[in-house]
Amino acid sequence: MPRVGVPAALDVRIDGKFFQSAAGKRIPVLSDFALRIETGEVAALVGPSGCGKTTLLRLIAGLDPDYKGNIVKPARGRLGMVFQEPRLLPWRSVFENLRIAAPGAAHDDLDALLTAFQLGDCRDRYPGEISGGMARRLALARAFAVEPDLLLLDEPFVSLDAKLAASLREELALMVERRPVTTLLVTHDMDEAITLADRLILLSGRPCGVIADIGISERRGARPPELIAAIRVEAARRLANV
Amino acid sequence: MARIVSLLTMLACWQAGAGIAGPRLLPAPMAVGAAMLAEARSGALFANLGATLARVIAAFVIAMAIGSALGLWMGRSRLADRLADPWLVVLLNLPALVIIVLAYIWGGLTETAAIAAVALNKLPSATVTLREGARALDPKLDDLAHVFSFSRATWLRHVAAPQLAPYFAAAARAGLSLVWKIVLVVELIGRPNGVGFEIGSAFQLFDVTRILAYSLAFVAVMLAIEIFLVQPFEQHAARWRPSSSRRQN
Repeated sequence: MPRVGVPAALDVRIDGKFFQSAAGKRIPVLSDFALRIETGEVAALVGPSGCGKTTLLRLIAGLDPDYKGNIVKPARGRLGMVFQEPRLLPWRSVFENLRIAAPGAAHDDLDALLTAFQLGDCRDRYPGEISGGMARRLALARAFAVEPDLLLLDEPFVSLDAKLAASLREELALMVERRPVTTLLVTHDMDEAITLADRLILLSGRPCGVIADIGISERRGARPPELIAAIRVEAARRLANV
Repeated sequence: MARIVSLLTMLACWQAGAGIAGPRLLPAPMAVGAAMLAEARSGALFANLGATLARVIAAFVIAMAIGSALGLWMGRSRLADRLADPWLVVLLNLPALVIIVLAYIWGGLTETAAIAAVALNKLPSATVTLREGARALDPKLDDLAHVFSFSRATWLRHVAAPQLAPYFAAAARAGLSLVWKIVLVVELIGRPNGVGFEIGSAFQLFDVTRILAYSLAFVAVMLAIEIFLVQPFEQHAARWRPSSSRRQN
């Protein structure tokens, strides 16, 4: 839901981002790339593996200052991020992983968050003692624990089995519905994007460019299978036209 | 059980060796035990052990604190590594005796000079070990710390320290044994008390019984430190590891 006159929550303009190859050649990853996401919007970047999606996310997260361009983030700028792997602190308990990421949060709120992500029972266990699915849930809970102004999701359910990925996707959709937050989801899974996002941004391969920008107006969690199928067909058509 | 058998075998070999070499060159275990008891009764044993232990602790703490900080800094910053590396190589290759003699010449025959000399001997190896640890820190967890804006203190305590703990334990273990050996040399050369001083005066009299009594008493002290301090620290630091990967004792 773009609003005219309101500053964008996230305004990205990348003039150039290069990788230095081992042989010393400069390989362009992103050039003349622009993206705007409005406050509260959930946008999904969908594109083939290796097209520079993760690089883009790292630039937005401030993990890589080596690029030409400009990235404007939300004013208060608190960032929540879910990486491709859970990336937990294995030597700290489930609860402490939340507390360390969100030192200002009340303990009751963190416990409520653990309960919401069905982690209440393993509050005091170490990450090595919980299942892979639970570790993903914890990574999601941690991103919400900081009450982010911008949520970055980098293929958060990659390498999970389809059933588990689907149920985590549902949980995340409910959570985003309950606590609206400007979100940028990066994925190569079209179903994931259609389930979670208000807006699909389809990307081409290297160097990364926007092929299509598709809005979805139905509420998350209430999207019938026919609609999802229709959007998938539409996306496939747009991709084929390039 | 295996340890006890091994220890008993060692004692038996000692006893047999004493029978062959005679009491002047190698006194029997019982004779050494009796000498230890006599020194303990007079109070001299504990006074000397205490003096040596205090020097070991002071030198160890100084060397580990500065060595860890320096190692972390050098492992994290390429510039720091380039700047400090030549100093480290010089210090690593300077014989302990040279450092001790120079420390006494420049600082006088004082406690400060003695402890500084020992600390300076341990410092480079602690630095090198912790530098390896700092280089092995997981960059993915650093990204995590950056994205979630961990404070410097939070990063040190919750991200870096747990990863450095095995390196710290290795440096501590190697350091303790090195430090106490060098403390003895420092005491032999320029201190009026301590285990090293006692061994020095026993050497003048070729009193092998007293040499063994003092050195074994101190070995026992260091063994106690290993068992009651270093090993529990390691176990605490490894408490999060799933128990199957923990070493079986």
